[in-house]
Amino acid sequence: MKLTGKIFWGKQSRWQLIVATGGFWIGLFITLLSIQFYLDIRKITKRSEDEKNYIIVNKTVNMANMFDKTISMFTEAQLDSLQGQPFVKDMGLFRTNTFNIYADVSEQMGLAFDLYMESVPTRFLDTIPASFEWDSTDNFVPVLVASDFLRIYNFSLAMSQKHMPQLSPLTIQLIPIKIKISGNGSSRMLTAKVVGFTDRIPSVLVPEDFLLWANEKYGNGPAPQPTRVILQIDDPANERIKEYLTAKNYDTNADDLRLGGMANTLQIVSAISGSIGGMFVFLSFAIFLMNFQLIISRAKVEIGVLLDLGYRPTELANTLNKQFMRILLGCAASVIVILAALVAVLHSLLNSYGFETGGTVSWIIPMAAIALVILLQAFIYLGIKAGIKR
Amino acid sequence: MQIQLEHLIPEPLIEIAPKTSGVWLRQVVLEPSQWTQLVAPSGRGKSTLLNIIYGNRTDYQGQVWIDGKSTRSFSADDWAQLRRERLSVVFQDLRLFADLSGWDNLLLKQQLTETVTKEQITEMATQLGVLRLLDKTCGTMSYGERQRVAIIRSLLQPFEYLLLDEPFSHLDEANRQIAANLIQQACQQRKAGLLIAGLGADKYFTYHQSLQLDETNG
Repeated sequence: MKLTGKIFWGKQSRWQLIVATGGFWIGLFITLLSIQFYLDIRKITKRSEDEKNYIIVNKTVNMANMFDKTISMFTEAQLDSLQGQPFVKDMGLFRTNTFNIYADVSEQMGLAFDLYMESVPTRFLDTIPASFEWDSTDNFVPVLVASDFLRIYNFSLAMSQKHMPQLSPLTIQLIPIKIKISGNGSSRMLTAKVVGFTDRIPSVLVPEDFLLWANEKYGNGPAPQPTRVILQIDDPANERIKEYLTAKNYDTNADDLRLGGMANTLQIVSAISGSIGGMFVFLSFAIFLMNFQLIISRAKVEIGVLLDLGYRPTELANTLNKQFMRILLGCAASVIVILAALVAVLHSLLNSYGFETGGTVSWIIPMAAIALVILLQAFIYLGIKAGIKR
Repeated sequence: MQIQLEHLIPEPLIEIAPKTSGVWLRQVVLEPSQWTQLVAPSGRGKSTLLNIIYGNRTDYQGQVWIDGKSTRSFSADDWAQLRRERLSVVFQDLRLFADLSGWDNLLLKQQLTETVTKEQITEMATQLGVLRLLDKTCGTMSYGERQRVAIIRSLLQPFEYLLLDEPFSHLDEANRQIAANLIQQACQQRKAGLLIAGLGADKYFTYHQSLQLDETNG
């Protein structure tokens, strides 16, 4: 059936076909890109929605605390009362070091400082890197740092100090930090590394089992009662939470809506680009179908002659269908490949701004492409059938 | 194959067809293997008749029967089958693809049934003096050259009846004779019937019957 192809894709039809194909390509590209954007943004928004279900609670600091730090500690009775509240789904205690920590990055950054460490149960972490595990036989300690700390360092500290370089999240993870822990009459040298960043907990976090072990061995005295707890709550809009916290004179970080605000803007942008994409798709489909109708109606004479020669209408329809199918699938495949490359670049950009989107195109994208191709092919099939019928 | 025309009249001719026509509104039988000449001046419906028999026109009253079956009952696939294997035609307007070469035009027909080899096509084209032209597109050929290509094309399939509509109108005497010989051979080989429409009587074939579309002229 190669000869029949020659007839339909003659000189006059070729131009139309190029325009139609180009229109379809662009339309498909924008649609799929919008879908990908929408999915990414939904992921980010959903994360920030989840985030609102975690709050960190501590006692309010006032003048009295200056003289007695134990005032900010929660007593067992207070903790039991908090855990017993109906709006609390889960509660985790912050533990802190009772030994001395001295960190030294003078080789890399000319900096050495006293450090503190905290831990929460792993189930309360938003990011759990694979390397966030402690092995008692090893001198290595993984550390999770609040993203805010990195921002403060990069945009406040490093900007004001000439000898301090700005650090990307990736660079900082490469720097080994020499740590000396001491107390209880002995000391030990350890190497720590930042293995990840957390948006949920503004602290320097180490694995809980490490802190328990180190407090036991190097701690100066018994572990104090916690001063902060992290709560998983049922509904951030629940008024009773606010009432309870105010009554107890507790304070919380729950106003942190940074991500939420960003996500709202992004959502509006994606809605706009989505609807523009939708219009584009509609237009490009219209262009494709109109050009295609033109090709068919121009081919009507040729179809008539082929029927005169004894070609079966179904045969001709199948040939034409196959040829259009090949064009559409070619478009879809190339769009997906280019989109995947573009999305990889965009995602690494988004990730560097602290939005975790994953790096790849969603599986929904090829599905959507196939659905659109099938839809268009159905229209084409009907058009061909109508064109060949006499 | 037997073709029967029963009280046939094309709708556009209902008012103007002469009562004395040898075909319209009569019972006409084209027996298998019979050779028939159809004579009429232009504009009296010769081409219309061939198009009706070939299934391209349905705007007529009466019936056309092929082997006892009304052609009105034929499906598109029935017609395709018939045109591949039992009925061949040269239309007055030839119906060649102007953008395709002579060869491509011939191969479009040949590849459907492959009853004739490429060597046999070459042989026919050589006899009719168009072999060298076959690489040109049909759009650039003269009408006479195209006519010869169309005649060759009609012989590249099995058929039980061959319909020809003024097939020699633009051929010179020598080529008419060669074409007539090719057609005659092909029909005899296939024991096929022949229906040739022309402006007047011709001397190239021995006919079993002659039909006048328009008696007033004959």
